[in-house]
Amino acid sequence: MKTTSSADRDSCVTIELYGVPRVRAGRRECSVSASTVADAVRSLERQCPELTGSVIIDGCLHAAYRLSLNGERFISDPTTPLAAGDSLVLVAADAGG
Amino acid sequence: MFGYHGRYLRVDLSTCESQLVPLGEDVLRRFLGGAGLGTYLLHREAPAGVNPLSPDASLIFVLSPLVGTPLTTSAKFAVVAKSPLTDRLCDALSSSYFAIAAKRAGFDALVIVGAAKSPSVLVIDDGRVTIQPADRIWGMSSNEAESQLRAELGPQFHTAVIGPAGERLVRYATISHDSRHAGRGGLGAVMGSKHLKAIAVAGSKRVDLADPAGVVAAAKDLSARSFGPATAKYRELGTVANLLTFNRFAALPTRNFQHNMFEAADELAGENLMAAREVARKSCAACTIGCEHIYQVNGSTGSGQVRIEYESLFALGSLCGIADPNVVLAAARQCDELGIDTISAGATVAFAMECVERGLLDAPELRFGRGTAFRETLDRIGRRDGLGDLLAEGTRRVAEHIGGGVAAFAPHVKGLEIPGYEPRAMQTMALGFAVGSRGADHNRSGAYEVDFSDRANRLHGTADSARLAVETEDRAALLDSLILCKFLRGVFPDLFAESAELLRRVTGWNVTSDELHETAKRIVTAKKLFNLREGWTRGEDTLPARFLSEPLSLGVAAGASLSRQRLDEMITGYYAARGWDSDGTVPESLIEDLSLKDISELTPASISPCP
Repeated sequence: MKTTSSADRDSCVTIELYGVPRVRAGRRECSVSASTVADAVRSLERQCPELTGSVIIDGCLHAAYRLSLNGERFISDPTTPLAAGDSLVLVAADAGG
Repeated sequence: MFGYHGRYLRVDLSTCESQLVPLGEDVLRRFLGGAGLGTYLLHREAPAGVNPLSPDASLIFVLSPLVGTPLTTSAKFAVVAKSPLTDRLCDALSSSYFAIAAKRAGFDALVIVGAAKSPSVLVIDDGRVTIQPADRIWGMSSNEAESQLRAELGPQFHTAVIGPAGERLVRYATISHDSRHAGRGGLGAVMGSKHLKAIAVAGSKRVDLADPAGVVAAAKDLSARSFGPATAKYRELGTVANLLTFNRFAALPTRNFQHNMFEAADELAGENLMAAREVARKSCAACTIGCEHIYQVNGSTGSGQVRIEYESLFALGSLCGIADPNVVLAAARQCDELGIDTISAGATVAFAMECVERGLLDAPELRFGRGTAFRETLDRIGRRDGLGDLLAEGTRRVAEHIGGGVAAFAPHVKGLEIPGYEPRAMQTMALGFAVGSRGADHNRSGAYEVDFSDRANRLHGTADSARLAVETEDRAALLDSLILCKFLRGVFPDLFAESAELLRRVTGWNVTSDELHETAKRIVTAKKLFNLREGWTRGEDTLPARFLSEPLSLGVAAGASLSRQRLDEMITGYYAARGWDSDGTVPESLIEDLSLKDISELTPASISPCP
């Protein structure tokens, strides 16, 4: 009998970095395997340890940052499922200028 | 009295007389300071229906109970007047040592009425008032005039000055100090109409604090928090970070709002400006955030350094189709020197560019993306030369002059040009713009926060989001009256509760969070009452027809639209959330509930000086 591992269920997701996350990480985007937003944030932290302690704290996104799913809607629930080809757009929560 | 002097200084430039006028605790507690106290004073000092550029108009500089304390970002002041751009209330805030020096001069506000016969400088030295000739600095740029005055008067003086644009009554001229500007609404033109080139203040009078040790402790705590993640955007990159983000969300106004994305956004991106051009980072007076990022200007457009914010970057960049960062940075510096608001300047030129491209205005070189013509036009605006004389009037008056339906794409609300948030892609912000007391305004409404959250669908606004927009307005009203910088707002888990504690320590008042919620509502409604007095009609709470008839075409917002009916539903929801009548007027019962009954009875004739 074949079992499905967590890795098998994960989807390839792009995380686009804007503003401070981009400057700190020194890159525009990351590709991660994740089935949920929480997975994606953990994977992002592994790939970009420069974000630890400022953008990502205790494995969670700091309140000063937001994620948008495909640029279409902002999401705050870490259990939100992700599908292959999704993009998470990481930006500062404060859009004020 | 703690935290305040309990009086304001009233100077009549026509008669060269000055007097101190008492401010009671009742007024101060109801309106706090800054924008709130300024609104109260404008009701009192400005005759109904006054021409904003006439000698009868009042120009009011307002401090706050927190100015002079060690609280980070508290060195702020508000300038309040009836705007020559909108003919409605305008409050423009800024930060600098001018605020600290003015408070040490011994008053909580400075009201200027009348007009000098010739170019003048108002000098206030520890409360002693003199009006001195300004012929030698008339015509100078803001920076030159500031430097000259401080060299003459001494480094203890701090100044607020106008540039050549204010002298020539450009309707969006600024008031400059320490290279910052009280920028929006043309208050520099009000100052220019009084032949007042500059105000110089110095002083040594300090106010007592109710709990000095408590204030110091709060200041240390707030400073420590101001170094954290909530302010990292401002500290590490600055507001220019918005440009690329907004482009990704298809919310970046481009070519006079014809498009919602800019193909050259990468070239103007704050992330790239920082890497290639940033030379320094500075702070306002008494600020621990340090949001001022200074960039190098290179090339044929001239060299030098300039501070730029997102609003200037979009207005002088994508809105005018300008892709060359050298041109944008040089234009920002040019606006600073002339003393003109970059948002209104960029939007007015962008509007003119579209008129030219449609064959409605005869200025063949003034087309989107043409940097040389763009910068020449800015200079002409500042000097009211040729076409610049018309464009110095702002988009609303330019549209009236051209006629033929161009008002549909003149980007303003109530005459104030729209900041860098595409309303169709940020529809709670669209509501904030439509109902703003000073016009299209990103500083008095923070509704973009709602759009940048999961609490609303930014591409489809609803009446439900009106309540959220009201909350952002109330927070802004409180911060603008305390005064603290809005860039700090993310560090407060509960702004109203913490603000009450700060006020308790400064003033000794037993203020509560609930009281400050009511204070914020009072201040917003007091502004509305001023506008009602000046002829506000329901029809002004709207957006130009373009935003209500043309869907967006690009990116993730392609197809998004905002109908007039939906905007009207949101506006009706907003009035209801404010407790106003469905036609946007303020019911007598609310005036009573908010303790605003006396405000309509205030007139200049009711002013009596300190004994």
